[in-house]
Amino acid sequence: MAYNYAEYMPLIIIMLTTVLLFFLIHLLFYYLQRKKELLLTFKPSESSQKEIDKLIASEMRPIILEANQKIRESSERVTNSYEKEMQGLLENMRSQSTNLVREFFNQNKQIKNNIEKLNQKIEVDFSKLHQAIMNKQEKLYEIGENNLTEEIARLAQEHQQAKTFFMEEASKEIKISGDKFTKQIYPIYQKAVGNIEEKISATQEEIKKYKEERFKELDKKIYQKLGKIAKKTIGKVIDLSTHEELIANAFEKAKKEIF
Amino acid sequence: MEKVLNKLIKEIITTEELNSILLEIDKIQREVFEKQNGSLSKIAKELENHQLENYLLELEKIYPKNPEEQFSSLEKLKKNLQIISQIRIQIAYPVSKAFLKNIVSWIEKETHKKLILDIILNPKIVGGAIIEYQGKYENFSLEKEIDKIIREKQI
Repeated sequence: MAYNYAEYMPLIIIMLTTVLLFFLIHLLFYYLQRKKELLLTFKPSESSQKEIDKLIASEMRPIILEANQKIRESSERVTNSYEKEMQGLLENMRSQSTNLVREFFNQNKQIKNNIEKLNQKIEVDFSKLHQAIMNKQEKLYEIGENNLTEEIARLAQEHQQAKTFFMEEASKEIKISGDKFTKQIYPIYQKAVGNIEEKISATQEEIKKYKEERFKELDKKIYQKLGKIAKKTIGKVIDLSTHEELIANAFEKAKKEIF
Repeated sequence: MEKVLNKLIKEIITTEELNSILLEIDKIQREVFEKQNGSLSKIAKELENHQLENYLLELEKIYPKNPEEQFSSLEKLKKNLQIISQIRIQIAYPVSKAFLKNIVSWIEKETHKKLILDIILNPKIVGGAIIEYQGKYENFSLEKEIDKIIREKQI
């Protein structure tokens, strides 16, 4: 089997060209990087570095020690001064607060004393005032009561006197008038009433008798007439029992017709 | 109270009695306010018609010294009495009260109603009775019989 390489040649050329270009670019970058390191960094050797360190240490130690000493001293000084200052302040504050408290208590005591005194004074004044009012009131009450009682008693007495006077006067007047009236009228009245009563009772009696007689007469006549009529018509006399029997018969007949 | 009222109504037999009671009630109604100040027992003693006595005593028990209530109760009583049915009878001459009572009882028994008699005396009817009730008129008198006999004799 034979291969035709001519057909794959462009592809091979492209691949080779690509690889070549890759190497070239890589070289270019490497060159540039190297150049940059050479230009910008200075790195001493290890021995030089050790020497430099020794030198720095020998030169700087006393300076550092001195600085440390100064800082310590300074800080101690500052601390001491602050402490003193703070102590002073605290002392001052304590004394001030003590003074204030003492003053407050003193003042309070004074106020308390003052209040107590005032209270005592008020109590005294009040009791005096109360006593005065009570005295005044009692006096007024006594005066008022006495006056009022006197006034009431006086009025009652006056009223009673007036009443008695009027009653007596009225009684006298009535008695006089009444006596006169009775004397004048009573006999007339008695006579008139007596006459009237007598007349009335007599008249009533007369009327009653007349009525009874008339009714008897009428009844007699009625019975006689009815008797005659009945005898003529039905052949018998109607007495009371027959009369009632006839009425009862009438109702018996009416039972069917009317009820 | 109803028992006393029923008894009172039962005792009334004629319209004459009814009218007398109604007049008496009017008089009592006036006196309740004017004289006795609601004391019905005092009024009851002075009554001419004693049929109302028990009713008044009972009324005083229910409304003692209360003229307003007594008055209105008497007014109700009047109304109750005024609605009692009446039957008119004409008779020749008076009959006994006992007989009338029997008649009323008999009517009540027959009609199952309370009725009172409106009696008119008419000697012309000679005997028997003419009865009128609820627009009906029946002549059961001897007058009718006599007329009949006379007419027959004339013929």
